[in-house]
Amino acid sequence: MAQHDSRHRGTSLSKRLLYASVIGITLFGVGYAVYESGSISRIYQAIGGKVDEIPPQAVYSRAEMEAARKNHKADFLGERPRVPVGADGYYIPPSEADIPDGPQGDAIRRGRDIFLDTGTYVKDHVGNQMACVNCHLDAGRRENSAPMWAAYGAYPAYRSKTKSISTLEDRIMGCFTYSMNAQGSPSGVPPEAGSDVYRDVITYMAWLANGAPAGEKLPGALYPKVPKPADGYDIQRGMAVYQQNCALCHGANGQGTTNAEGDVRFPPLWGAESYNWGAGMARINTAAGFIKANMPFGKPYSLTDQEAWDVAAYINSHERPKDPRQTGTVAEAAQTFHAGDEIFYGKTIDGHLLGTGVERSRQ
Amino acid sequence: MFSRKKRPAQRVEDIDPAFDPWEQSRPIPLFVIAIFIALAIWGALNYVGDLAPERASQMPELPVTTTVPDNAPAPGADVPVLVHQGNASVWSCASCHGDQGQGSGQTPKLAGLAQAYIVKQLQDFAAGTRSNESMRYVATQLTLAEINAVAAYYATLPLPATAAPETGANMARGRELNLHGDWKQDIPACVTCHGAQGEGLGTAFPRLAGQQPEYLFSQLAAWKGGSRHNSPQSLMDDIAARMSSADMWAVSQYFGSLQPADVK
Repeated sequence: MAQHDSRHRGTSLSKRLLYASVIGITLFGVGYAVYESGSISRIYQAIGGKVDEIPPQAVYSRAEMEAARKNHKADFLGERPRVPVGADGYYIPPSEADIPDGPQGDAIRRGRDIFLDTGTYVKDHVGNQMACVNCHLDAGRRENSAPMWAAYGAYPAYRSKTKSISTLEDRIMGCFTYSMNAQGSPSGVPPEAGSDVYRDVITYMAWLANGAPAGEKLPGALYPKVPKPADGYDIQRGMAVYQQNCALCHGANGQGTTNAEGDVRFPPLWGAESYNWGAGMARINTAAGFIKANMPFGKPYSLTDQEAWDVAAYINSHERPKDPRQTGTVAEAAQTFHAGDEIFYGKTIDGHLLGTGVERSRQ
Repeated sequence: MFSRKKRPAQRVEDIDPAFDPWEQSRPIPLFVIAIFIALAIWGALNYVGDLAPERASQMPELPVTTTVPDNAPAPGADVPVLVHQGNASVWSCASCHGDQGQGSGQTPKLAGLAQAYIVKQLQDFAAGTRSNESMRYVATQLTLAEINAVAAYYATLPLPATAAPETGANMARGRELNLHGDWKQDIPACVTCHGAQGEGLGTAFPRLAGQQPEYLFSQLAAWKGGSRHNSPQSLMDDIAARMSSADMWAVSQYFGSLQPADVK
């Protein structure tokens, strides 16, 4: 009797295990299928959970523009191609992968290389550690970071800085003169008019602006204007903002960060290796606009207007290379070139007359 | 009430003479066994897929260390005891991070990370700003001198090559995010801070090239989900929050596939 029992139990046990395995595998299969079908995230979303959102699609993509151009060529009375804009309302410049082949593409690539690594490709005319891309982020594409696609169609134009009509080449020459402090470079001057440097950079800009209307001030052009706080700005408060938000990359003394090979990874913000007193960025209002929209890197619009002004004032209250236009005294230059500007040029802070300049030590 | 009192007497008579107290009266329900089997399959596949330690036979084939730092310690010299033996209260580093500091799966590669970076992470584990129960325990058991010693050891350790797994992640997208970012989503290029080849920059921005992809993904997910809080100025919290899961996987795979030889 006992023997019969155990034999009976034995068969039932293996049978039960077999059943359990079949059900178990089915269960796993069903579970895996449910997981793969994505219905879990749909249910999760339905009860209010947060899942990855599909990035907003362009309102009018570059591909649509290209297609419309083809149609328009065939039927020039038909619908005109429009300006490619993203969901954020800003112009969409072409991406790196769209650079064409051939001589035109080679010039675009040369211009891009100059833009990203100015000190290497235009060695003789860069007198500090700055490059174009330091102020014009994402290789000149980023809106509200003085993008190149907006600048391209904005020149020639009258500039109060020069009191004359500036062509695009004149304007870029200004960047070399002031922001890249050509006076401290081996040649001591910006690339001469007609130089291949301008030819390549302008070709790159034209490529970025392919599809953007000329003459019109596009959304995202230049830096945004940040209203000056009612209480003005304060260098001491700015120092605190700087230490919390900027010093990680730009260094406690504004010296920037270089890597083990000595390449500049984050640019210096003051001192001999930074932009000079004639650069637009030396004005507090300009720097505040750039900072507000673009800094800290990867955290746009995270600082308040007050913090942006305070930290811009702190950064621009340090000595930097002298204004190359200065011929007489700093006071005279302040009167001639900086009257009415939000700038510390010609002012005395802690007993030091700002604007006297600082020169890089020659190796 | 009365019948209740009588019950004990009645019960004795009810007992089945064939009652065997050892007989299994209720077998485990079929469905419970089935659930266990399903869980076992899931667990086994998970283990095989993610957590299986690198097979010993693979190790010698790896072209070890192409970039030996000048100050790399001679083998066997001055290796902190903790690395391979642990001590009375903590297990050895190598028991999880591998004997070359190469890591595996979600366990990070430590070789070649900056000393100050490793020190900060250990201190953050102890302080709780970076959460991992095992590492919290280990970090609280170590003295500052021990932390400095193991960090210095791993910082100078040559980089072991890792076999790039083929996962079908979008490598082109990973490369794109590394070199150019996706500014329409406010995602800056990784190269800006983590170096031109993901080699890291200074002490705040760790090396990413050759890091374990599962680890990279798990950390991006931890920042995005809000369980890791020790990024300076919450930079990575913000950036990860803007990344899709597919993008996180793509960059993780991309950096995992960069070999030490690709790095300057």
